[in-house]
Amino acid sequence: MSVSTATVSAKVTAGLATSQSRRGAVSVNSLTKNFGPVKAVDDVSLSIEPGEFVALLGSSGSGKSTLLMMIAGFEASSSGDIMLDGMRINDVPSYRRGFGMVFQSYALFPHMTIAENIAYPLRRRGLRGADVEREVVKALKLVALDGYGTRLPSQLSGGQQQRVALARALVFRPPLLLMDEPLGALDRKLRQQLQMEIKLIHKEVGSTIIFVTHDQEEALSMADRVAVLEQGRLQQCGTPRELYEQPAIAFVADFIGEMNFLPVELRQSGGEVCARSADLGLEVMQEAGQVLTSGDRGLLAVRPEYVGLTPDERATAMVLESAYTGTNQSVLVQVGSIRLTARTSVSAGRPLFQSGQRVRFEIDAAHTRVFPAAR
Amino acid sequence: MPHRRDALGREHLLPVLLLLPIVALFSVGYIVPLAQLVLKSLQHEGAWSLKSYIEIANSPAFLWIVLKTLALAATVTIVCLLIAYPLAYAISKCPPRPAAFLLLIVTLPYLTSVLIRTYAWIVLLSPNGPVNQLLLHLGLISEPLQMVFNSVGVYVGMVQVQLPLMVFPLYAVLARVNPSLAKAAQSLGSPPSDAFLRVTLPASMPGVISGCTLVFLSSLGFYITPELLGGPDSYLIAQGISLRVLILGNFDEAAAQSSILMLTVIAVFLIFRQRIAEELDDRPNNNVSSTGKSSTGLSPRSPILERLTAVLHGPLMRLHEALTVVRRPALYVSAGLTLLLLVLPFVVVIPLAFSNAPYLTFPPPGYSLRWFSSLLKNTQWLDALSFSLRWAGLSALLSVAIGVPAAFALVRYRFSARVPVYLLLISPLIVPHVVIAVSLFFALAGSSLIDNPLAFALSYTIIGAPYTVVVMIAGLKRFNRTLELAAASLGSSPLVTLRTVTFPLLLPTLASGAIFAFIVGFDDVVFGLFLSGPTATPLPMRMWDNIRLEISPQIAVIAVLFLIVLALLMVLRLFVGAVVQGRRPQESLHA
Repeated sequence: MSVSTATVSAKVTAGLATSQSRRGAVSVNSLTKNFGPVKAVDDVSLSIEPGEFVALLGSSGSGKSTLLMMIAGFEASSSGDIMLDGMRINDVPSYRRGFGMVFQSYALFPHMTIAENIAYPLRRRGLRGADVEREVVKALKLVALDGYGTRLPSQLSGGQQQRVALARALVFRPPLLLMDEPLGALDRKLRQQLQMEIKLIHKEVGSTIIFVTHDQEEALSMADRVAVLEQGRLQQCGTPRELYEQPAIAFVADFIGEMNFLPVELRQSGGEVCARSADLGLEVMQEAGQVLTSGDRGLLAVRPEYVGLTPDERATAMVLESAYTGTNQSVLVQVGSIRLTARTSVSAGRPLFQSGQRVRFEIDAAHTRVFPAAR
Repeated sequence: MPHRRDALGREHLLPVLLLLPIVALFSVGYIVPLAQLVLKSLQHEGAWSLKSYIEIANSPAFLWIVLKTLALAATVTIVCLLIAYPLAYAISKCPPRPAAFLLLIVTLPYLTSVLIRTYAWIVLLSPNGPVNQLLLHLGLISEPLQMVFNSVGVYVGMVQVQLPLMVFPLYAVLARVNPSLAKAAQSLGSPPSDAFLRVTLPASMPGVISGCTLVFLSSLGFYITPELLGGPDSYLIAQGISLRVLILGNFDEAAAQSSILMLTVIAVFLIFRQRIAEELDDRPNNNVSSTGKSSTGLSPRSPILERLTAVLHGPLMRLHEALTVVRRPALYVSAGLTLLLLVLPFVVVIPLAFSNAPYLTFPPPGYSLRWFSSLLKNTQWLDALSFSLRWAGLSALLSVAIGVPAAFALVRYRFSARVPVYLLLISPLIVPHVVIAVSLFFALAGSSLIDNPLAFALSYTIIGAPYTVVVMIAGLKRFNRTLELAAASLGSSPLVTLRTVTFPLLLPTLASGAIFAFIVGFDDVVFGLFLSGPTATPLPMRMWDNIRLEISPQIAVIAVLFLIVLALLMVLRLFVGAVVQGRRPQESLHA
């Protein structure tokens, strides 16, 4: 066990809103975790700037939680490094890392009042008396729970409990805050409200945040950068916009948002790839970003909002089903053996598409991407 | 969840250290004496010999006793199953609060001395007791029935004594059966009774098996109830053993019979070991792998059975509709009668304690406190009471001290000897006390430890610590370990986490474990029979002698006092729980 952890478990000194003076740079290098023959986390490298808000996004079993548990120190890594501000912390026990952590199940101590829960990390750091009281009051204010200090966790709603958990994880001003599906147990309305609050609090305290979620909408709306994990591997890490508009692989394209995947044949010509589909009567030219060879089958990915529809009695495409969602209408269209979804904005005066209606469709080539059909 | 790194550290030495005290004590007071007992049974006059076994095998009387014991245990098991199932089912259908209350009623007899309950049955079933009086009054019989001091009394008493052991596992399983399953079956076309037979009953089979195993095994070695309620014809194997040791002095044969009884029990125990060791595992036990199903996933049922079901479906539906009216009342009446059977002894014992008669008669002709004052004046009773309180109390503390670390080691660490150690530590719940007591008697005979309080402290700990271990294991498994991770993330070292989070939250469980261990020691008769003497006489021995020699209302007084103490302990336990769950807000910050 390393002894040089004094800076990691630094005592509380400054005011709550003070930034961490650029502490909280986290990086993992070739981090791997084996559970027997299974690689739960497989050679993941990721570098996070101080103050950045990064979401780890993936379905269950993708390794996102295991990665977080290794950063938190609850899980030993099999190989690779975890670095905090340039220092390797793999062998620092969790209780000396000094990271805040918020759990999905809140994990408030049921035998302590809210104030005692929040005072807990301060007491462990040697604070006593009025200092503790002042910090607790400040932390409660931060999460808008002033005056709740004397209650017990069981007397609070789920959303309030999670706010307390957040206050408890932030009260000792950790350079890094880890959140393990913190909103997973809450209903939709409350979740959206807390998402906003967490973003505001992040701005206010300036800690680095690593946020695990399986909800892509949550990841996109909250994080500065999103790291998509699948089968233990880091598939792509980028800003929400990069992930949505320039997915690097078909998995990410499929996982983030809605996406049509249309089967195409590929032909390479110079620096460009031509994706053709005879069924759809379609030909799209793309820069050959990936290794695509002529004659391969490929997938042309296009988001529903870039599929345009026009009513046309003589067209071969037909509306199968449609769903009206207020501002938009999602329309499922059958073209030969292929089905694709279009999203059209609803405007006054224009009738909605109906099942059985013949339509002509257009695909906006500028917003398509081509992937090899390796799925 | 994959394994997390243990918050208490990764040292392999730690589980060994945690288990060391209990394993050491069990070795000295349990394993070695039992091993000596088996060795003794294989010797005759200092040489290796199977003489005792040959003599036993050639004795038709012994074989007859074995058969009778097996028959009694089997009958008691079946009767218990039949009457416990409706009760457990009804409780599992109750809302939480009534269910908790009903479970408390089931627990009450389990926690009350077998002596007290047996005494109550003597009163209830005696020729001029309330049961006979009621039957005579109703004109069902013209002569009082002889129901006590023969096998009828033994059966009634045994069933009542063993009933909680059947209700608990059944309830545990039935409460876990997802109620949506039966509803789903109904929505798919099964009438409720059919849904019960096809869904609920199969799902409750694990509870049926563990309940039957528990009742059968503990009936095999039962001593007190048959001895007090039975007549000369209901003489069982445990009585045979104690008779050989205490009266006949035929130690070799006693050793052989004890070994046979113990090995039979251990064999049955090991057959059902899988089910029992499952208690330790976190894996849900419904991950049934490939069964004998065909490739379609349907069980290959014979066409005849299929056709028969189809033919019977119509009539069954009609029968079910006809029974709908009585199904529910029948369930509740049956459950109610079982509850009555459980509480009947207390109904009798309490008024009896306030009797003003100088001898036992029920109902009492009048009420007074004479038997209370007679108890308070009798130094023999008071000495025995203080002896039992002191040594059962000490062994309860000891049980906690050695049982709690052991439970931690068993729940929190994975090591190769884990399951064997667990089975060893809970085995005193299964091995008949008569056998353990005889083995201790042989081991201590000739030393100054017979008629010595230390022998009681040792034996009470051996029969009490398994309860502490079991209760603590259950508590630790329920414990939300994320709280410990949270404490670590907030800066607590493992020891600080233990002190500030784990221990305070487990305090109620700890109290339960201590109470169980205390009651087990405080109630003991069997060890008293072999280890007591003029200087070391626990309370149950005084009661035992009183019931056998004079049977006075004195026992009822002790029963009432016992119930009061029990109620106090339960209040204490609730209080501990309340303190942990919700401390007064005032002390929140200024601790």
